[in-house]
Amino acid sequence: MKIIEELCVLPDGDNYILYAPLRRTILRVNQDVVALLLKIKAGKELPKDELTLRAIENLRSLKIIDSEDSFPVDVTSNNEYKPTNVTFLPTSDCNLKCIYCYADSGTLSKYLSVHIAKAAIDFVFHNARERNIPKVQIGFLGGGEPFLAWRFVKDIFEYSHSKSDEFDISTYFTGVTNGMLSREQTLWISKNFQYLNVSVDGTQAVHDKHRPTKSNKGSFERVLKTLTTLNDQGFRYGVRSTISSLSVDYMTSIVEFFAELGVSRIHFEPLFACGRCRTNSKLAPAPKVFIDNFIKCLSIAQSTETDLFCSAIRLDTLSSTFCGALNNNFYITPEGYVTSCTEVSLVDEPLSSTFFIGKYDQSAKGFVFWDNRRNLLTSRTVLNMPKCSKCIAKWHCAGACPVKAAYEGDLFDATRLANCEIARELTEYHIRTLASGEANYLPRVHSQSIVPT
Amino acid sequence: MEIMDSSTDYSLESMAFDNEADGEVPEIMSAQKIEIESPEVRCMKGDCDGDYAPG
Repeated sequence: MKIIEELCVLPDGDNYILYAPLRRTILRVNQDVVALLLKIKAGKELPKDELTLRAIENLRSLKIIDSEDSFPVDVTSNNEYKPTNVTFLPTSDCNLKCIYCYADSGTLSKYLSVHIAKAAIDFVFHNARERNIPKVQIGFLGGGEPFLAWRFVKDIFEYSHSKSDEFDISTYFTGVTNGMLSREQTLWISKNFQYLNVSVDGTQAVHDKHRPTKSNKGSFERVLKTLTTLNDQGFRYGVRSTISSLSVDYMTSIVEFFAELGVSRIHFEPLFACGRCRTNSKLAPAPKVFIDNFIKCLSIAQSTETDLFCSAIRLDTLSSTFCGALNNNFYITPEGYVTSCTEVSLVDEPLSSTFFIGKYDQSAKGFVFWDNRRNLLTSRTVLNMPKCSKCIAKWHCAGACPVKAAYEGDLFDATRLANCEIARELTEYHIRTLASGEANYLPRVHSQSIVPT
Repeated sequence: MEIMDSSTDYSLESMAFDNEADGEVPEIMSAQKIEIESPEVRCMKGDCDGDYAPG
């Protein structure tokens, strides 16, 4: 008799919660079940009474014992690099000077050449045809503010459509913006894109403190106009808010504000001290305060039917890797390099030697890739991170952000990050609420009773 | 019964009891299957969220 490897145990008053992430199963059991499992694990002789035999049979039918763990698809997928999505970082320039900017944007004004971007489009369409993928996703993202490169965006949009017709493969356009868009730009995006993330840090006081313009004026009013236009167009978008020590106490009012504004998707992330605020770690919120306030926000989001998301609480994700930086990301930097993460966008940054995985080759008129760097990144799965091996968030957090871990000195150890504590606490909280039969706070996660109580 | 576990170790082995549980009445009080739809599956259905935007 054998117990599955991936099994977490949480004390729950006089009882216990068993969580089998790869089985997507949560059990509430008494202490004798835990004692029974420990005896099985130790190979001890088991009682042969009817109740014990029935419990063993139930554990077997729930695949807690005598079953193999079923790993997520990405553990067994091959490592061939044939991306079918491309994200452009068209410029390092920015019209804001956010106090925490990871890219220190606006300091340099570099712009990506259209001919390099077209080569990237050709590459992903060929890959999509070869892999029989019916859709290519094309994104525009920072470094800086991507829509400052407005002519570039429109050129690439038109070129992608010509390729879409040629290959008979559909397109999906996304972008992330600081929201400093003209009405004309906003209308064009709402007509031609499928999704947009707008960085807004909350109410005016918070937002203007975090995200001033280059001339140190408030940016909130203009961003609000962008959101209002998107609402008027019925466009599907989300807001993305960085929570700092200055705003962490206002998280609930920020959710209420967005809900009242008609925003249906809110993405909170705690500030990480890097880039422009590398020397000012006091801007990072205290993890415990962030956790407590995020939990309060979940009930507000539920009552206002708003989708509230944070990368630290994602039971809907089952993966061995935190993000696409460790898989198939194909991001083109303003200098024509291929980076696997938008947080590393300029070749002079120290982490570029890890996260830059290729470059446009002018003579070959195509991209060359550096397999040794890709191999290092693809090896950064949670299975190769010993400190994550017994964590309850192992298969959801999946080792947390690789760039932030590398910033802290070890790509393969994210336990020094505040995000680690946040992910553990919020994941545990979510599992406990599901086990207790309380409301499911996250709209993408539902539970279904499979054994009568 | 005292539990000796650490905040990061959720493994079964971390549940070291200070004495053997004396009752032999194992009971599964409830079991739930978590139903989720992976981001990849959602995206294939046209529900992509755009890129993860860092900070």
